[in-house]
Amino acid sequence: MPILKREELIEDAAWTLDVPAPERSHPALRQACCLCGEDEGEPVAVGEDFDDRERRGDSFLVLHCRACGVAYLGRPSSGHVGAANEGAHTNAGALLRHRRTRTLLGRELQGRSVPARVLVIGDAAAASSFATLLSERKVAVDTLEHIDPSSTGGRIEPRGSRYDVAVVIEEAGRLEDPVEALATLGRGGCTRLVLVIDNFDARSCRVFRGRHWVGYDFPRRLFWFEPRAVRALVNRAGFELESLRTVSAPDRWTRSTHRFLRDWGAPPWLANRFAGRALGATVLASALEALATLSGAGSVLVATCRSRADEPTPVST
Amino acid sequence: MTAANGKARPPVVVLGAGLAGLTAARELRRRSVPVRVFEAGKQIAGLARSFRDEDGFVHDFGAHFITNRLAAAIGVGSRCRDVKHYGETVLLNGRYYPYPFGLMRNPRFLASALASRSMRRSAPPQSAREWYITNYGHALAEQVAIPLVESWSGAPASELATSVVPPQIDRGNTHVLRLKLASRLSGRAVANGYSREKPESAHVWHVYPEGSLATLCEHLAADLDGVIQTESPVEAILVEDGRAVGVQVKGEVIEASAVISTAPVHVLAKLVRGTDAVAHFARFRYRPLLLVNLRFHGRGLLGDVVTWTPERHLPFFRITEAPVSMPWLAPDGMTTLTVDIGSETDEPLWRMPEDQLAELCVEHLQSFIPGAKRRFISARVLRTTIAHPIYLRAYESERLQLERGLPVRGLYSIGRNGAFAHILMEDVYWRTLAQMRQLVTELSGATSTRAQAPAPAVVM
Ligand SMILES: Cc1cc2nc3c(=O)[nH]c(=O)nc-3n(C[C@H](O)[C@H](O)[C@H](O)COP(=O)(O)OP(=O)(O)OC[C@H]3O[C@@H](n4cnc5c(N)ncnc54)[C@H](O)[C@@H]3O)c2cc1C
Ligand SMILES: [Zn+2]
Repeated sequence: MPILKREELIEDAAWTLDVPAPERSHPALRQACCLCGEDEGEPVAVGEDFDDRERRGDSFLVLHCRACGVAYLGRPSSGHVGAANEGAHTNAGALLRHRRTRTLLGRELQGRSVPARVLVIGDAAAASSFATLLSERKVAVDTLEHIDPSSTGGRIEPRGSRYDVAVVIEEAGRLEDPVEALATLGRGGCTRLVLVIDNFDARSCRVFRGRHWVGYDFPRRLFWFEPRAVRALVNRAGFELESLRTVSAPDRWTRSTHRFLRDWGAPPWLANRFAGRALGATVLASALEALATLSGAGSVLVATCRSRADEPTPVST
Repeated sequence: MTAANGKARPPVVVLGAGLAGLTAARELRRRSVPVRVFEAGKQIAGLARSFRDEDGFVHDFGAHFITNRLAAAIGVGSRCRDVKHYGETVLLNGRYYPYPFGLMRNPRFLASALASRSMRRSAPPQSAREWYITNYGHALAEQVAIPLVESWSGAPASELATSVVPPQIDRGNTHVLRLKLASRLSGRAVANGYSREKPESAHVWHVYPEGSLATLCEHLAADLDGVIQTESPVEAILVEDGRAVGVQVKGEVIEASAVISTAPVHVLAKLVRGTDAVAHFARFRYRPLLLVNLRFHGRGLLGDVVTWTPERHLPFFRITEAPVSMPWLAPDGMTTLTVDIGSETDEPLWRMPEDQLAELCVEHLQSFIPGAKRRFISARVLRTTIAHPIYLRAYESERLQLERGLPVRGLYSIGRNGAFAHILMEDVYWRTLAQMRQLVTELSGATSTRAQAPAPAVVM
């Protein structure tokens, strides 16, 4: 067989390989769409952990399930599990600084009757902003800072209390099984759910989707959702969607631009124009985001849902 | 996994532990399908093998360039370095023309290209020769494209099918310009014309694994404990009632629920027993290649990383100076030039001793590398009989059939040589994943619409 000849050649040359011990892939994490379970997504992004200098260099792949509108992290590195809880950068705090958004969320939350107990799940900044917002409205609030996506199997366990409303800020994408986690909330008695989540179909996402979109937050998130996927997600978790709107978050533009410029080695004076709250960049980002939001492609999705408590809660397979 | 009758299902057998075989095996294992890999050689990695010699030079067997997307997909992203620069030139009459746009600096080529644009096209081109003349015009086709494809293939362009032209060549000038600009601005070697399966963008660039390219396959193999058997060529693939049922290795028959071959199709044709449905692939030909690795003092000796030369008086058609892209492949102040010589195995060049080949190359290089003889250190020659498929019109219809799948159930021919396709590693990877999904569907008894995953559409 001709092919064997090559092997003989190699033997003759006595070549050696200089390769460090290979790492194994992480076996525990599935790499598939959390709605349909399929793993035939198209690769749409390769990114890095832009916020962590130590881990920079590891690269992460995002695959997009066109059927469901879900994007998922492909083949997470073994560092993922440890990293998932460290410094998630939702910047929901910044989102809530916008007066219009606050009003809107407050309205969504209150619904027709004043809720008795509210559980806010999100990072520290988000949770405390929300707690303040709600206490202004005389609502009792508990906060839960992050859910461990792996040690609790991705379930939300609200410390034995009964909550009427759960506000889940940017957490759904961090859970290994978001459907099951939200269903747990419903089973725990939450009759209303408000989901605040980055919009994978936002204009800001479309522009930076290949790598620098701030919503990726590699490697701390596992899933990203388009509006239709949010609809399917809450539905599968036993909730009925009452409203789904996109709200404006201009920081998604500035922070993504900042990443892009830093990553491409732009001079610091230029990159820093997009860091923090530099006036020019903020004005430009706000204009772009306002246009996007007008056409329904704002950066953040807010979904208000009501539990279908009477029906048996479906659980993901 | 169990068969429909409740009995434990025999494993899927994979021939070859190159990128395709290892990707297939890992994917099947991930889906809980039992699998065994038999590799003919002593080492895994096939054409993606590399080694570092005692003087600190890294030699890649064939491939040099992969992408960050492939590295991330396989899980070796953290162990790769960015490649900062990649470029190709064409050396003609002692002048370098950056590829592709630099060729337009030559007024004859520019006029030829413009004339071809305005020409009325009658019938679709039947051969590679016609394709190049129609699309590039006479001057560019006759002086550059046709001589190159002929040295590459070892056959006249009039006998080559149009499929020899990679489909990604048609992605358009703006696409190429955009990627080149992104490369310049980002300081990374943005992949351009590398992949036909997945879109190319500013965010997909070349990287190189620490250690050597073999890291990719080593990593895949790490998930395949006890699955790979080296020095175990598959001697026969057994087919009963039109279905692959097992293989023979070292005289022993091993039952299989499916057989995946990554061997060249002309080898596969000779391995299959119990049917002659694939016998016609025996006439498919691959181009043998001599890769003469020459070490020199100095660096940046050529116009760019890859230099193509259509000059017919030169024995080679391509020279790659990989250390210009990847400085770590050679010690400081030195470089390696890989000179590609196409030669049939019965030609004198093929049998020429290593030192004579080196001398021949250096002699010719002297005409455009000043002081080549003085700079030359030493050489090492690699030979492969299966460098790339030759797209002859004589068997083009059979090749198209192969794209649609083999006429034997449970038998797959995948990878670069298995698919008889001039595809690079990332495409091998994505195609293999898609094919394994299809196989798993078939094994789990679901009705399948296709015998084998078809050639995927080109994503523009
Ligand atoms: C000169 C050259 C340059 C290239 N440059 C690049 C590049 O820069 N970038 C890039 O991405 N790609 C490049 N490629 C392509 C790349 O190397 C291949 O696409 C890829 O390595 C093919 O992998 P494979 O598994 O399909 O085949 P192979 O690597 O050929 O693996 C097949 C395996 O099957 C084994 N085998 C054969 N017969 C049997 C049998 N009967 N039983 C058991 N085992 C058997 C062989 O020993 C071999 O290990 C290049 C290729 C060449 C030749
Ligand atoms: Zn899906």
